[in-house]
Amino acid sequence: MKKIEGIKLKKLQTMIIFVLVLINGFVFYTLMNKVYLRLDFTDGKKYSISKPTIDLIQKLENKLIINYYYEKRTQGVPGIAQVIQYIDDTLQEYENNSKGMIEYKLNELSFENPNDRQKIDEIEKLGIKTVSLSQNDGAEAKNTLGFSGLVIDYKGKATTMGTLFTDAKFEYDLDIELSQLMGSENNEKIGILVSSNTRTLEKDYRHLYQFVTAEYKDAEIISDAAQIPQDVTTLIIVGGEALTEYQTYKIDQFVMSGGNILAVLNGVVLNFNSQYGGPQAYPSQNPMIRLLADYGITVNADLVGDNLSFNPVAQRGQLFVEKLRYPLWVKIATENLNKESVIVEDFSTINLFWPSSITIADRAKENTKILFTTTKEAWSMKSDYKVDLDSYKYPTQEGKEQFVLGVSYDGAVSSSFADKPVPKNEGDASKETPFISNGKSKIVVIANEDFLSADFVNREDELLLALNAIDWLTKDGSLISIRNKGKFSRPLNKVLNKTMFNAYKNIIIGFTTYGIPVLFIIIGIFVSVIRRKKYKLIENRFSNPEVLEKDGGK
Amino acid sequence: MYNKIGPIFKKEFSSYFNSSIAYVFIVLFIFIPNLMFFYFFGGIFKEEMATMRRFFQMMPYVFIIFIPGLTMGSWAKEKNEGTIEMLFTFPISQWKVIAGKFFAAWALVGIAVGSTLFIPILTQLTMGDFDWGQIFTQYVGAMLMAATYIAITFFMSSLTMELIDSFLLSSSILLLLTLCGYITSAYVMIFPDWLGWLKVILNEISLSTHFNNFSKGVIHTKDVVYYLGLAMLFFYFNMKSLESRKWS
Repeated sequence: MKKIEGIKLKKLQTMIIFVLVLINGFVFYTLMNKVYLRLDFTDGKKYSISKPTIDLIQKLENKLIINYYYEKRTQGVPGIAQVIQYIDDTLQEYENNSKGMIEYKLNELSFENPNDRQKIDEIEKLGIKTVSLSQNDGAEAKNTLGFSGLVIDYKGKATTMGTLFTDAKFEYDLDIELSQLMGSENNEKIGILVSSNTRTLEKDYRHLYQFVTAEYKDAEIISDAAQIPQDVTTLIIVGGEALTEYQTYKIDQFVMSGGNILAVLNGVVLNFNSQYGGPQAYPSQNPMIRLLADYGITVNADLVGDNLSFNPVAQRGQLFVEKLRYPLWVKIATENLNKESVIVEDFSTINLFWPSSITIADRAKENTKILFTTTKEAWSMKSDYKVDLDSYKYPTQEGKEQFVLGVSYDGAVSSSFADKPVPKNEGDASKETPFISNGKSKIVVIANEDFLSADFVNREDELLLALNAIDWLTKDGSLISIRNKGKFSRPLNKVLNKTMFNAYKNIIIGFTTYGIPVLFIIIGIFVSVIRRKKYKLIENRFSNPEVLEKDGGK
Repeated sequence: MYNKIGPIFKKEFSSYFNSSIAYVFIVLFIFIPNLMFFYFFGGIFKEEMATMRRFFQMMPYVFIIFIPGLTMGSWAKEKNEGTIEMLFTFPISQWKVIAGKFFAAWALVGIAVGSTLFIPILTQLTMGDFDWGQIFTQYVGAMLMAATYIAITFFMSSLTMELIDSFLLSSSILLLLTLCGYITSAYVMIFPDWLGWLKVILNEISLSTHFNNFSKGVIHTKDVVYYLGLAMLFFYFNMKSLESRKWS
């Protein structure tokens, strides 16, 4: 009787403990949803949305609905599946961090499914574009029609990101869209001014123009520096040698009234079509150089060569294409990029072509940050410039110096025209507006024009430098870190030869799928044989009393 | 503590290798998922991308079959053959016996899962660079998930006498716990707003949902607590279930 009661008591105890464990588990788990630690081990913190993004989505006042649409077959295109996965994961992170203010839905649609047809038509009208995606299947190239895009709804307004086929700067682009939808995007207007005697924006700097207009919807070409629209807050000035005194004055006034400047200019003018034969170089008479010098940043009339880090020039030889040393094509080394500046912190190198050095006046040093320099084995030519290839076949100059080639400035500036009369505008008799002598501004100076020119821009990195500088001038600097996020795809690109690729592929599949199992089977058989032998030996000993006796029963 | 758990662990672990169980388990565990990964899902070569994500996305489903197959005999066989009583005559507490068995099974799963590391290693050496932070979390997550699956199947095994019953019961429970996260995805069904709470619950209890972060390259304490908590809970159930044989 006592035993039965004891069992009943035991059962009751177990039930109570069971319920308590469940309750505790539930409470603890709920608590873990509130207080948690999240460690992103991926390279570049791929799955962690940045602080500016979290700050942005926490400003949401109403529910924001994000619908991500992609075509089923799009997933089959090499590289795209990973992008879709990344976008899906990132959007889930947005949802998780929004405290219920973002509702995200993934929608897989198919051209082959008649039920999806209507929806596809609808999203196409909203701006999600069907594109032809190329797919290499061995020797055969196939094209697949597909789409991948977002529709974002907020407060009755909708916006679309119509073609999402890369993970590079997805978070940045989405944040820009959200900011505009939420009305929190500051109304920064960018002006692009190319002032050169020989170059034009449309021809020589078209890539810059395309990039800037794609990134900043509110970008405008400024054809006359004397008429900078009032709503322009940041001015990109490429060159400046064709500026008149009055135009220079207007740029100065633009800075004095709080305008920001990205100045990309040469200290030395190069002429490769000289009638005297051979390339010629001479000091630039660019008024912008004088203006910037008055602000404390002087672009020197020199050509900088770096003996340790440069891009060689490819030239066709008699049999082969030769790569000739050319220290005037300076390649900024990673360690010479200022990792404390958001403009260049994520770059591994920057290529400059015939750059000049920059000197910072003592008065400006406090507000100036060096962006990048040459190595310590650089030199400069201040006169009698030699730019021909033959001069650099062998080291002609010993490099002992380190030169500054790019700077950023953030602080007060005094007008270049503070103690000068206001220049007259040709053909304009109207009275000039009151003169402002001091202002607070942001300025970025890169002592090289050619790195942005169509002749040399063949990689996105150099344009990204310009965009980072514009971001720093116009926005919260933290957004730059988002722009640089990605691209995350890791292609199998170590082997380019298709035959070798297939050979390695077969080795990997063969070894991991068949080789290792066979290895374990062999080990198994080996262990089994040894065990059998061992058992047989024991069996023999016990079944044969003589052997056992001989061993002394051991 | 190891002095007490160690002998049981050694006995169980060597028994796997002294029979064909370990070899069959490891061979099938490597062969079938790899075959699926490379031939049905395209593996790393379909997209030509250095990522094991698809491989690990299969893992919750692969475990549904393989882990019950490994652990179905843990208690059911002992009960069936009457060796369970002898096991508990050892001068160690009951939970240490369970822990020894548990760690032996976990170590075996570890060997099988670890063997798949050759895919990223060989690929890294020859074809493309992996994100090793992601690979690390994928393997950590897979081992944590395996611990939970083993704890659940141990408990199921303790409820039955027959191996096949244990296998079917374990697989069914694991299937339910794994799929409940899958059905909440937009692919399968759309939950109306008034059933939003159900979606949240199904997501939270799903074994596969909590693996998503590990699969991406992220370790979230919520997921770690979920797997360890669930493993401990079923460990406790297992103890009580074995203890209950004395109650009747």
